[in-house]
Amino acid sequence: MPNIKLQSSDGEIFDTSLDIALCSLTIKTMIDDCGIDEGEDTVVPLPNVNSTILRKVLTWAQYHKDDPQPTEDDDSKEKRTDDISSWDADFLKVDQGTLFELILAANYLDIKGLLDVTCKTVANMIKGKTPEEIRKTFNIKNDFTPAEEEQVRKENEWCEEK
Amino acid sequence: MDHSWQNLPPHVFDSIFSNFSVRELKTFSLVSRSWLQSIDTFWRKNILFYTYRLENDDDLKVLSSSQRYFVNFRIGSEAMDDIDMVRGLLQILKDREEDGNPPHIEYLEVPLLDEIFEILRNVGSSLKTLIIDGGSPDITDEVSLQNLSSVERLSVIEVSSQFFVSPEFFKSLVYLRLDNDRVDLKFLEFLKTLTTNNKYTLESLSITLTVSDFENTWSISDFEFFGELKKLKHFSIENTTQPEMFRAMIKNPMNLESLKLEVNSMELEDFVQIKTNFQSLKSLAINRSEDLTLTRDCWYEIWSLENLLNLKIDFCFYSKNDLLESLRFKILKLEKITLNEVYFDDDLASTVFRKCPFLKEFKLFDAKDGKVTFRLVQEAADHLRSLEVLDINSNFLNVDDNLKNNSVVTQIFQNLKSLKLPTLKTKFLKEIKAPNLKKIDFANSTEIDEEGLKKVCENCPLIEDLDLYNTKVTDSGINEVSLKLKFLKILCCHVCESLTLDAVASVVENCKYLQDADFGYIFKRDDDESFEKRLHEIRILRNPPLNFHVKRFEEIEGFGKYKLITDSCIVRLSNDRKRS
Repeated sequence: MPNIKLQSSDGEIFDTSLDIALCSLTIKTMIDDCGIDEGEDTVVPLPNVNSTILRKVLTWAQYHKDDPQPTEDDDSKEKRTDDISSWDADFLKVDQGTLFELILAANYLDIKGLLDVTCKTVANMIKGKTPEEIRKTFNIKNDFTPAEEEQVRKENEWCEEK
Repeated sequence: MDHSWQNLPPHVFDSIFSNFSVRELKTFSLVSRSWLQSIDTFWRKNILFYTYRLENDDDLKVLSSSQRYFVNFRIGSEAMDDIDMVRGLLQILKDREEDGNPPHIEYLEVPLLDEIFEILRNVGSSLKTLIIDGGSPDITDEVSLQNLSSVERLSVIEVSSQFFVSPEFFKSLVYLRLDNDRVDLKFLEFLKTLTTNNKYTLESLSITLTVSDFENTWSISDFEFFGELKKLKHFSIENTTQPEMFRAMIKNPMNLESLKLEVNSMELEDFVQIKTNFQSLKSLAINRSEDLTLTRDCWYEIWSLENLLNLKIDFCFYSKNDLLESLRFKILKLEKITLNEVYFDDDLASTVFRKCPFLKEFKLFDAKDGKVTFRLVQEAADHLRSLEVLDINSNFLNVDDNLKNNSVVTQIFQNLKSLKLPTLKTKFLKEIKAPNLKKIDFANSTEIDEEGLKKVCENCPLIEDLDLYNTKVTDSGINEVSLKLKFLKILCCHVCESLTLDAVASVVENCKYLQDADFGYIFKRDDDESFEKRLHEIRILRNPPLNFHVKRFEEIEGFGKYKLITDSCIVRLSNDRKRS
């Protein structure tokens, strides 16, 4: 398998195997659309991903390159947050800033597997928490006025699952 | 590093939110405006059953000032206020339409009033479920409503004029329920047109035919259309005056899966018809047939339904011997048996359990003149390997004597998930090993001792639902429960007068998964003064508990309907017992 060069937002060049890079549907589309030929010394610019994050992403892709492609059916399966593999769990033991950047990168690069597992990790961080605890965890400001907050509470009280 | 969790791309939010239940998401919508917005957007795309119940003016105000998205509406059936509620809803829907936000309503439960027709015209073609419950409109003619063709489930309950709309407009009914006291030929015509028009889609039909003042004006051929309902799987009929009518309906073979009969009399011939025509039947319920005596031959017909898994008998007569005799040489596939107001005793239990070795669920509500004792539990443990639910609400006699006679009973229920026995005493349960038990009901038990409760918690660590209604459980008993039952979700301590707020505090502190806790009327009036003070001291750090009942008085001065205890938890102050 030939190699391809990826350039991060801070200018670092990553010489990487093409089958790893193709985990990203965004890169795949670029190659298909722009007719970047294999073997040519073309550099694919990724202006939305910095070198630290791109290195993480490529590590993840290297490990998962032989995973079966997710199919449409996977969406209809019941979602579980406890099925994160131990490798992924270790891989995602990162600070919040990095996790956030990884989600954005997975989203931008269109890597479904990485997006799923990072979102699950965030879901696990939220699970069972109160709104106040969530605000603390993610440093979110409560921008409701007391009246608005009361309104949302009331609405929630009256909405029932059926 | 500056990053804002507020501004994740929408589908990333969707991907995160899809891991949660509606209830959890409701909590998260309180985080911030942008979270609220993202969750509403998520709901708009994903949640269909999101019901908004309109009960009073406040509800209307909340709804009209809300920009949020609701797909389902339910309006209470207190006739006096209904008109205002319906008009209010209509106005809100019109306002939204004008704001370029046309209503998309999938579920509507309303009384039949003139304004309803305008609402029905307004909801466009999104409506899937329509429940008309009560009310009497002034209209005399049928109303033409073209857009009802999307309705899949229609219920018309206690409406003085059920022919409010031409049956032609319903084209894709899957479920139909017509429940009305007054039935006449016009009703039959309505039923016939409605079912015939929907014969390729209709799967479930439930009708009440309480005929009063027309007798021989119909003929059996009026019911021939029944045989054409090829997709019908579930059929329920209540017909307490003219048995010929239900007979006309069961005379055609159909691929029914469930049949529920509430008729005034049934004869052997009817059971033969049922066996012959509905061989695919999985579920049979015979309700309140006051004149019915199930003979040995009737039982034979029932047992020869080869696919039957679920049997419910409610208020019938039979002789013990006939039932025992009919079960000779039989092994049945039955998985669920529910009995109410029929004769039952330990001998019958012994035979029925041996003949139905695959039973998963056995419920007995009133054994009439029969006597059941702890021996029934023993028989269940001995013969029913797959039993998951054992629910006995009948008189349970001589329990103590029985236990003495069997002092070394050790019942093992490997699969039991739910257990209710009358006047259950904790000391029995020391002997019952049910490692998978999730739900146990001690309601009204006079003998709940701490030692026994502790043992139960040790033997059944997976309990999620514990009912201690009206027992003498103590604070230290509840403390034990809160420490041992890690997965407790529902706890009822209503009218447990020995409890103080210490019990509330230990549950709040220790039970991480608690969703519904009922501490209504927990201590005597002497403690009034400390109540309010203590309530403020308990710091409840989580939200939910969504349903958390602590009040026992009509009103505590200064407390509204809800009292905010901390920033993140609402304690519901209410006298109502959540569960009955």
